Amino acid sequence: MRRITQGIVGVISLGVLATSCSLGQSAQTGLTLASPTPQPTNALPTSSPASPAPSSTSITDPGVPATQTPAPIPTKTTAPVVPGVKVTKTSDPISYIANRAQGVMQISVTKIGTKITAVTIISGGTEGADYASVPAVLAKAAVDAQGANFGNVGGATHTSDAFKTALGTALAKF
Amino acid sequence: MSGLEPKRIFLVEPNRKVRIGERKIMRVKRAQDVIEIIAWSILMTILVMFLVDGGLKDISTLSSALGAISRLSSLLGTALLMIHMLLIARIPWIDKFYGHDSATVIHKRIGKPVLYLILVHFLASLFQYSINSGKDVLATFLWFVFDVQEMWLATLGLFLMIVVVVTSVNFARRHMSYEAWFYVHLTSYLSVAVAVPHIFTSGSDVAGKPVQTIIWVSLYLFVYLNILWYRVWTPVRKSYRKSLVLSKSVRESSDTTSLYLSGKHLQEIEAVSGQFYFLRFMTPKQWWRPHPFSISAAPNGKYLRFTIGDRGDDTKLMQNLKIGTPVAIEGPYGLFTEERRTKERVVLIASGIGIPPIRTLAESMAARPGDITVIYRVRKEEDASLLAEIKEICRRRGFALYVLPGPRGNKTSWLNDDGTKVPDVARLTIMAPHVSESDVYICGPQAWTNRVIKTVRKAGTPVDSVHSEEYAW
Repeated sequence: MRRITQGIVGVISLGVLATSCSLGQSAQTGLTLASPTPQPTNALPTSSPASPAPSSTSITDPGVPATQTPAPIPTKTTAPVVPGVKVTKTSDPISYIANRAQGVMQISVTKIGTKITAVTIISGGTEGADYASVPAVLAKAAVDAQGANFGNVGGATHTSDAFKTALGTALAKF
Repeated sequence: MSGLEPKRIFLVEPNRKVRIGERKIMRVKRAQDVIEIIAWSILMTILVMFLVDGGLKDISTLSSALGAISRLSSLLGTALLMIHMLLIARIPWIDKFYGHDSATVIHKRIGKPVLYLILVHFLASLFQYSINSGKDVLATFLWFVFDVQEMWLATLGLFLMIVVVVTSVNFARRHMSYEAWFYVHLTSYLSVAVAVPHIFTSGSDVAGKPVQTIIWVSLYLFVYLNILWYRVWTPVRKSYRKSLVLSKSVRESSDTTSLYLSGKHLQEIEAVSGQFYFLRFMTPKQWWRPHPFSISAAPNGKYLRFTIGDRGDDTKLMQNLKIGTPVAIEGPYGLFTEERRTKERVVLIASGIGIPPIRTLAESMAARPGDITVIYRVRKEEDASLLAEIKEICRRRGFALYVLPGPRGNKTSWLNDDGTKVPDVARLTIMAPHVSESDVYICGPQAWTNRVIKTVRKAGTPVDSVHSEEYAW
């Protein structure tokens, strides 16, 4: 390359790199929930995974068929529909192989009435410090979504899938 | 030993005119700039995707830093690998502006950095996972190879890549035959291919990211199709169309032989004087090994002629080929041609088996009597290949010819011992007084060529007017 071209290309490259670097600072990385994929088998309404409290139960996901959804009255979701006892069921063990981990996913689901109040991971998870929070993210997402209709955790697709399968088997036992 | 009587030499009409002048060089340089910018933007695209994706954002611990290093080195390594492979695909728009030899030289130069980057990627991800899982490095390695999808293939690819690079460094090359090297180098395609799956199943920057996937798939496809088209399909099509066979074999000296190839459609042969072809002699033993040879007679529509020296190995076998042996060709390649000429005067310098392209240039270059000076360095005048033809060409066209036989003057000289202690540059200027105002074409063994270039530059010839080409493989 000639000197002059080298100079021009060099300056442009630096500019482009600096711009992309600053764009990258606001990029979503690591453990974020992707937008939920349509899962017709889910009978429960979804809340936006990002919303921290189940009180905001606006049904934003168009992928969930409305006919299958026994539309709840938003105010009632804060309290159990049927005042019932606390029941905990354990899922089947789901073995899975992911790129970053292999193992058996087993969870327990606690319901009061029809409401999922807690999801506990008995076994399974991801390897690596960067992914240590994946199980917690998944458990919270399940409670928030009142089911398995939430997006996968970026970078932990296989773990997310195994978690959802396990959740399905646990919910089937109620 | 000369096989042809001077009277019977068949020569083509020289070119009537040639474009000369500085602007010719400018055009080439501009084209080179464009090509280099394209290559650079491939690297930049990859970097930008990595940065925009937040590749440098979350670095807080050693393991996350290792992760970023692993990602970055794999991305840059793979992008460089794509460029590395394009350079050897014999793509016309690269070869036309750099020459097959320069492209090959750059290809060689990129080889080691590619390997280093891929090695860094391998080690960084190994240590990253080792830290994260709390297992030792060996256990992590075994887990990688046996438990993670496609990773055993990628590891195999890395191993093959190491073998290819190690056998390609100069030291190993000197101890290896061309054939052995060729075998090993074929596996490099395999090493690239087996590393592909893990990129798309576990690559943090590719898997599950549509834009990145599209860019990488198209990059791989572009390289793959270019290689397939220019290294496989085009040679097969041309060879089939020309259907060349060995029609005559003439001994030129004690260790050189001229091979005359005849076939169909020879009028439309694309080669010009100074270019070379890769030849494959279609015998059961030799068909898979291409060898580069310059044409030793300007294309004349009747035959293609190559004059080859006996350098041992395969070239020895070629001296004794049966008449009628089919020959497949790849080419023509090379920029050792009049296309690169920018001056009125020309100095042609050859040594030993470097004579074929010099002879064709002398035969066909546009020139008035006296415009061209030919210098031919030989061991013995009686045993010099194509000497009678060179003499006849220079006699007919009025060129000055200097045949320099005998051992060289001293260790650093590229000229013969003439009994005096006159330095090379002075002797060159005596033989070719206009050398600083000329285009100088040099063809011979690499070490010898380098010494000639030094002298010619010392004599004042600008670097853009010095032309040499090595048989690069």
